[in-house]
Amino acid sequence: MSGNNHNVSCPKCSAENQLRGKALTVALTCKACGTYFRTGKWNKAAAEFQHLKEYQAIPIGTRGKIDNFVYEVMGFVVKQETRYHFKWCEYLLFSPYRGYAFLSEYDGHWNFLWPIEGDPRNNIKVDDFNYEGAEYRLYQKYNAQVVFAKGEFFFDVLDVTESTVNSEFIAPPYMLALEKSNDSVLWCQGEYFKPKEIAEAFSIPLSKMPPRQGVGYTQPFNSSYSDKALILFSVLVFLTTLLAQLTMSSSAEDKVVFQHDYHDTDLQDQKMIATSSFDLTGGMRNVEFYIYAPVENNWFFTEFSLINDDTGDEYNFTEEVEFYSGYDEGYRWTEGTHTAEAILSMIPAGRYHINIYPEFNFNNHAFSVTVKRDVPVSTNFYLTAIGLLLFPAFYFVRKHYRERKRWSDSDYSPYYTEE
Amino acid sequence: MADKIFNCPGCGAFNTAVLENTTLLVCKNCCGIVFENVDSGIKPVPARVPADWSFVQLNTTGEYDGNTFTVVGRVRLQLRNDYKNFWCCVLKNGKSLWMMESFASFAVFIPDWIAYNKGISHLHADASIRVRNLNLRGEYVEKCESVSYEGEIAHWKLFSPGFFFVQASRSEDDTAAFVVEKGEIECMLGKKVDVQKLNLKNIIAWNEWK
Repeated sequence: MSGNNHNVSCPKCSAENQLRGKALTVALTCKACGTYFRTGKWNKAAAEFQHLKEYQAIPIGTRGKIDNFVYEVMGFVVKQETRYHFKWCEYLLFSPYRGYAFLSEYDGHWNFLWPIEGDPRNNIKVDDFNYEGAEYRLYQKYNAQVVFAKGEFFFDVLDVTESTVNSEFIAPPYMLALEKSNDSVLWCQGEYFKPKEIAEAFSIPLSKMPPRQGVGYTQPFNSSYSDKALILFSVLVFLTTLLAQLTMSSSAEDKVVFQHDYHDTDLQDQKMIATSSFDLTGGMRNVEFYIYAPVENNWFFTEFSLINDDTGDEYNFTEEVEFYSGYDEGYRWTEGTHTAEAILSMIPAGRYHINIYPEFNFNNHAFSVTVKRDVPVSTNFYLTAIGLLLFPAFYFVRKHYRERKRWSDSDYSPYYTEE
Repeated sequence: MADKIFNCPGCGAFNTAVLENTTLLVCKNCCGIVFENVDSGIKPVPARVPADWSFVQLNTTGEYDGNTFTVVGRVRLQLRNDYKNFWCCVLKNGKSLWMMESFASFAVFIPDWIAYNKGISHLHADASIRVRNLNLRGEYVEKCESVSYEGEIAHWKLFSPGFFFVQASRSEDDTAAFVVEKGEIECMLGKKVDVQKLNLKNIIAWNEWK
C-alpha cells in the first residue's frame, strides 16, 4: 500500500504545501512566502529570493506536449553564470512515462533537454566528438548559481547547481550538456526549439514569450535543408545543365553558310556592300557572324543588316574591330584583336543576304565575313552555372557570418584562432 | 514451488509468499511485517512506501530475457537527490530478479550480491570501476535518506537508511548498483533496459498525463 499524504509545512511561515511531485519532490518553494527549502531531514529554510517573476514565461503547473509526451512544469529557476554573470531560465518538466526534462531559455532561444544513459564521448575526454552522426564541439564550460527558484524540484537545485561544473557541446540544433560534480555525472541531450513551438506546445500566447535576440547557440542556420542536401542539389542541377549543354552542343549543325573577303574597292561609290544570298535552314536557329579585319593601330567599324529575301525582315547589329600595339620601355604590348563575333539567336529559316556598311580607316582596306548557322553556344550554360553557384555561395557566406556570431560568446570559438 | 500463506500477526489478513527465498513479507492490508528472514542485525520496521509517480505497481507483469515475471514487492530508496524503486519480481520458477526504476529509467538486476573489496575510494562519479570482467564508470554517489518497502521481498539486507548508493555503468548497457554500509561494499550487476522491451502490463495509467 502506498501513502498519499504529501503535505509539507514551510519551515519559515508554517504554511502547508501540497506536493504535486509526491515523494519525488525533495525541494520546493513555499507557495505562501516563496522560501526555498528541502523536504525530509533537511527540512529547513535554505534560501529566499528576490522576485524575478518577469523572467517566467510558462507558469508552474502548465502542461505541454513535446515528442508526443505530456510534460508538466514542476519548477522554475533563474541561473546566473558565475564568471560573466549572464542569466538564463530553466524549467523542470516531468512526465511519469519519460521522467524529468528541462526547458532552458536565454534571450528568447529555447532548448529542450533530457537525461541520457551512458557517456556520449565514450569516456574519452575530448572537446570535439561525434555522437549519433553529428559533430559536437565544446561551446562553454561554466559554474552557476540559482538566483531565483519557484515550484518543486526532484533534487536540491541550489546545491546541485553550485556543486557542478557544466560543459556544453553543440551541433546545432542539438546539444549535449554535462553536469559533473564529485558525486554525480549527468549527461543530457538537447534540441533547439523556436519560441512558436514552445508557445504552441504549452498553449502560451506567443506574445507572452520573451523576444528572440541575436543568434541562439544551438539555433540552426536553416532547418529546412542540410548543407549536404544543398550541395547535392546544386551538383545535381549543375550536372543536369552540363548534360543538356553537351547534348545541345553535339547536336548543333555548326555549318558555314557564307564566307567572303572584301576590299574597300568593293564599295565603289556606294556606302554599302550587299552580299550574295544564302540559305539558313532548320527552323528557328542561331546565326553567328565572324568578322576579321587586319587593322594595325587602328579600328574598323561596320553595321550589318541581315535581310530575309522573301519577307524583308531585317536584323541589325554593329561590330567594331580594333587592334593596337607598340613598345614601351623595351616591352611589346598589344591591345584588342583583329576579330569580332556576333550571334543572332532565333533566326527563322529562309533565304537571306547581308547589307554591310563598313567604315574603313586610313591604313585598313579589307575585311572578311563568315556566317555560320546553328553554332553551339556556351554563354547560356555559363550564366546558368553562375546562377546556380550564387545561391549556395550566398548561403555559405551567410552561414559563416552566422556561425561567427554564434561563437562570439564562446571562450572556445574556432574563429578567434584564425584572427 | 508451492505458494505459502501467512497470517498477518497485526491484522490477521492472509498474505501469500511466492518467492523461493523470501526475506520479508509486508502485509498488503496493514503494512505490518508478516514474515522476515533478515540476516543482518538491523531488523526492518514497518515503513509505508510513499506515493510517487511510478507506473509500475504490485502485480505488474513483464518480460525479460525470454522469461515472464510478476512484480511482487518493492524496496524504495529515497536518495538525497534521487530515488530508486527496486521492484522485486518473481519468475515462473519462483526465482527472483530486481527491476530498478527511477524517473522512467529502467535496469534489471540478477539478485546476486557481490563483495567489492577495492575500497570506497574507487567509488566516485566519473571513476573507472572494475567489477568482475566489466569496466564501468561511476555515475553518481548518493546517501540514502530513507528505505521503505511493500509486498514480498527477496534477498535484501538494507532495511535502514544511512548507507551510500553508487551507480556505475558501461555505455547504455551494463550497470551496477553498489551499496556501501559501514565499510562493507556489495554490488549487483545488471543491464539497463528500454522500458518498451520489458513489455510491462497491468501498469498504472496516469490519465492526466495522456
